[in-house]
Amino acid sequence: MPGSLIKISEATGTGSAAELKVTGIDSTYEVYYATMLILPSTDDKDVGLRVTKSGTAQTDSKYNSSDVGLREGASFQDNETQDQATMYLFSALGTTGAEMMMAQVYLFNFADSSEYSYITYRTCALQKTPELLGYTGSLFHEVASASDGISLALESADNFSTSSKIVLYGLAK
Amino acid sequence: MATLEELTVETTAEIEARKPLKANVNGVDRDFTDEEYAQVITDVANSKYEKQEYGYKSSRSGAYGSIGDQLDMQYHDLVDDTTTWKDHVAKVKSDNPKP
Repeated sequence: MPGSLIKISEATGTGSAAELKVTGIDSTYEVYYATMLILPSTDDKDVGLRVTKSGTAQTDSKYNSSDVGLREGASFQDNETQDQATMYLFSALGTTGAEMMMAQVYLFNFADSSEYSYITYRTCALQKTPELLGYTGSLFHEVASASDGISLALESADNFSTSSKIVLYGLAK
Repeated sequence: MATLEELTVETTAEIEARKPLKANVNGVDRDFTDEEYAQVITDVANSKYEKQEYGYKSSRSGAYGSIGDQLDMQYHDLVDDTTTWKDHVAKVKSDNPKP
């Protein structure tokens, strides 16, 4: 159906999973889209994202990003990283429902074997302080080969709470 | 301050105590592979090291407050001959010291 979000897969926190992974990206759609609701099991945890190739999270130091952190009670932050082994979507996430990280990401060029994998993202949450904090930015994985999904992990290999979920969609034209 | 090697030893013990770790892949839980255990130990140890060495930067960034609030402090310091802003910055730095 034209102009639709086509659900591809989803991963959910079961209380015992330290990694959430959704795969299934191929050349069916030009652009893929994912929504995320993320809540750690213990307080003050960063959320890391990696792309997957053939289902395996890529741990090479090839992640580059730039974003703006929009804070409720402080100045905006300009952030940039180069050649990182993971890409952090959020920092110091708390454990209450109000502190859940909500995110939407668009995934570009993932199925293209001769291009880097690009992601644009928007996240927001109440940080542990608590303070409303949102990030808007982009990243790319600097390896020219096809990617088939994304993987999330929490600082300290913390388990995702049962409220956590990633849903992957294809954007049908 | 712990070295990266010391943090790796500490992290290995922590992960061993938590086994089995699981990944939820497309809705199905499965145990970590040996490669994933090795990687998570590397990731967690590196994260601890980064926070130990550079965590003060993000802590300070949030504690300084907005530029507007800081400019207001500076204005009142000029008008009232006080040192509120300088004291504020010094406190943020001392509360979040470099390692």
